[in-house]
Amino acid sequence: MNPTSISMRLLVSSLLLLATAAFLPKPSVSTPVGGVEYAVIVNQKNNLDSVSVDDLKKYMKLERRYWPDEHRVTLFQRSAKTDLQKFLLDKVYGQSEKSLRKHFVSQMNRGRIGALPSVVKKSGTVVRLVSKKPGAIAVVLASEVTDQVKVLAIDGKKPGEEGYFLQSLSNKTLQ
Amino acid sequence: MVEEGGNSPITMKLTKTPLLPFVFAFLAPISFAAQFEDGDDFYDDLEVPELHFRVFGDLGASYENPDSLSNGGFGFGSLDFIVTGTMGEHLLFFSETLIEGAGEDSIGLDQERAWAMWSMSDEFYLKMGMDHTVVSLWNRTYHHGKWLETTISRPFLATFEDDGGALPMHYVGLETGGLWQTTGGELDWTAILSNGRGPDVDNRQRVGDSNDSKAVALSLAFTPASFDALTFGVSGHMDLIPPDLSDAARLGNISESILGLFATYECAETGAEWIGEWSTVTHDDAASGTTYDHNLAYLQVERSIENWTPYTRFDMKNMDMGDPYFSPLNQDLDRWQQTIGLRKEIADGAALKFEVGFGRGEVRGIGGVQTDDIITAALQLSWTF
Repeated sequence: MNPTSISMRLLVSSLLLLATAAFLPKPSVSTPVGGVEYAVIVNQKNNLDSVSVDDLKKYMKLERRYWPDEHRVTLFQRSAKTDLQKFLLDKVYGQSEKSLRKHFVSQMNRGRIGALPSVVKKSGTVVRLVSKKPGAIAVVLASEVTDQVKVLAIDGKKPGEEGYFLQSLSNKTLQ
Repeated sequence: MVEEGGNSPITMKLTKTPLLPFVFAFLAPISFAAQFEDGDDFYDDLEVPELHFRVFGDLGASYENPDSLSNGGFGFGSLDFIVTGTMGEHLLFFSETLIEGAGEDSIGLDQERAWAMWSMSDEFYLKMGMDHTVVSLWNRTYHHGKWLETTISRPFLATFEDDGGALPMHYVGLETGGLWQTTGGELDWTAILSNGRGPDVDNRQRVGDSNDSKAVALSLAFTPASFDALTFGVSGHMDLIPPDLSDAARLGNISESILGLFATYECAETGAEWIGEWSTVTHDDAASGTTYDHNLAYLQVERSIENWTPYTRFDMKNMDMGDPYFSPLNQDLDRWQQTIGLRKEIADGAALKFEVGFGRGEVRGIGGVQTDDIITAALQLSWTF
């Protein structure tokens, strides 16, 4: 095996790699439609009051699997067809639904999570499930929050405050 | 209502039977149809064990030239049954049973992984059982899930023992690890104490150990907070391989040490992904007093554009010829290969892949070892549900 040849091959692969990353067009990203604020809800027993944006992303991707109080994180998702999930894919996950699903399948295959997140059809059910499961987390419309659950501040800001993270720009009301 | 195929939790009483994977596979469709009405108090009792399934499958065709490597043809690839069970919030049980083709007309059944893990928090877990080793990032990322692998073939460095791989891909023992948050980023650490390798490469010593010496392994992976698309790290593995008294060239212990470096870059926004690894394997053969050094490496680049993913990989293994542990199965031969392929997502959870490879490699024949051009081509349909 000629070391020069190997080096050349590595070099060619590296150049291909750079070309791939630099010159191919970005995939289209769906534009979120909104005008409303979304709230991150957790169980009332959760002792966390605020998370950073980075931590929120890790909890929502189940890359962080335990809360500081040692309850396991359980994520409830909405269908990919909902505007809420589309908004989260763009704002929180930064990837497509297929890519996110592959991420969760990979996490399960690696034994990092026991199951894929449940997809819940109705927002009222989401709130009820989060109120019952100590480690639960979900995102709902801020207007759908009840006193059964706790709303997490993001970087110290709650829905309604200026600069809140999960806030869309248009005024169109969505479900 | 909690719904949607494959995402719904289904609860069962756990039973103990050797046919469990098949029972689960038979029952899997039930989980897809499982529905929980709004009035259910399903999550009231956290102590109820939950059982979940996942199946990976693949089939396809392959061609390799020269024919001394293998004949081209169609083939059943594998069916991989994964079962997970959670008890409470801290205990996870995991089983992976693989049905795959062997030779021209055999179908083999293999228990690939089976472990129990107790996690106190993200920072610390303890695992006992059978799992994949940390000597390769690829090995711990994809396991046997062909649909998760962008490519059809695994790199030489991460090839399974029963497919001609040189590195130990499986272990039985104790593992601990966790994810530590630091100011600079995340440190993912893993430490393993296990049965070592058996007298021959494909002997994984799953139910016992032929010597008292245990293998130790450590892996550290770091993801910088300022650039979290990148993860890089190092792994190490040390073992004492027992003699093989049926082989006159293997009458002494072999001390094995493996050092690995790895890096991966995943950019969700652009769909670009790089993964590269390098491993150096040192064998000190006590019988002959000879030291053998082997190097294996690969670099893979891919870019997802909508449902298409073109990819390329350079793959090499530079081995010291004559290593008595590797030579019986020709794992001491050099080879390099450039692979180019295309993957198409044909459905949510199903992919069609086509790849070709060209390179050069040593082939051991009647006249000794000679170097040949190598051309490969493969087609694969892989899926998961």
